[in-house]
Amino acid sequence: MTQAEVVGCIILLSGVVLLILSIQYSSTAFAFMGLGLTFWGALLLYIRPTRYVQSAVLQSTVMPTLKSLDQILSLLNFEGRAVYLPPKTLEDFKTGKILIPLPKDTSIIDSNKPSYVEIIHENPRGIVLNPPGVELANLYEEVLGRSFAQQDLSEIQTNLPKILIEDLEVADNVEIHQEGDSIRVKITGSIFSEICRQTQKLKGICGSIGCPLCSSIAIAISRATGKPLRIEEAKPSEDGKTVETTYRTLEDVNTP
Amino acid sequence: MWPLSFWDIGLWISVTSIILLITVEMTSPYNGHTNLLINWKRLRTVALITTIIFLFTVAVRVYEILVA
Repeated sequence: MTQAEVVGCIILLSGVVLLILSIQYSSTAFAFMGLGLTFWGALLLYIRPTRYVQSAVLQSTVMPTLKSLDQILSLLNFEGRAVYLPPKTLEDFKTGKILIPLPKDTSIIDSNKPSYVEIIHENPRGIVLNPPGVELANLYEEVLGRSFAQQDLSEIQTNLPKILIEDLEVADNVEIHQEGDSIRVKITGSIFSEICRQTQKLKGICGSIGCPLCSSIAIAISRATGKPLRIEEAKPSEDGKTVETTYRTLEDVNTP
Repeated sequence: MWPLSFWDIGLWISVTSIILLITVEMTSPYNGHTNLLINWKRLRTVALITTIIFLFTVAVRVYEILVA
């Protein structure tokens, strides 16, 4: 039992005792005190958070994986910019995939057939991976109760800030603006801000695959628009509190 | 014997619902309070339920006045 649970139980029990006494002695004062203590005791037990994890733990868990991924991609020379593949190119769109092409490959990404199944892809030559934000994107859909593929971008502009601010409390503020084929997302006070700042040092991650939060938003936009997508730029502010990310939707494109 | 009347409980609920509604508004994630260790959505649900109960007591009072 946690401290909050013990305090909640004590308040609740004292309230119940006072309510019993109020009936026995017909005391209005006891009745009001009993009602108050019972109500607030029960409320204290009811509004406890489901689970609390310090953001430093989150950071320590995520960063080694991202560093390893960056090292592997750099070692294998997959230094092209990652393309988020739309659902129609995948067998199971819940998995979400990114294609990281070889830098000099000029083949065209065909976004109209489910062809990105194997890890090593031949045409265009590249590696197909699960992006770091895929599970987060699936969680957003679970919270929302609808798939992003059933929504358009204007719905995403309304729903995504609500999920990130109100439902998951991941960020203090989220703004999504569309300008032609580019989508600008400004996130303030995110619990991922430190991770986002640290991934700036990883060339293969920042501005390509993206940190888990940027990646999850890329997947959401890609599912909604049904088009391949690239992270053009991720720019944290000087104080590190705000991250501005620019995404660009692509037609069937040349990979470099 | 239970010492409180319907109106006593209505008064208590009105005070409680006002306190809860102010608390919910002040701790809203939309005001940047995303680090509070409470389940804000549950608190909001409780605040809304108590407010509805309070409004019900008001409706009963209005009905009584009209009938009288």
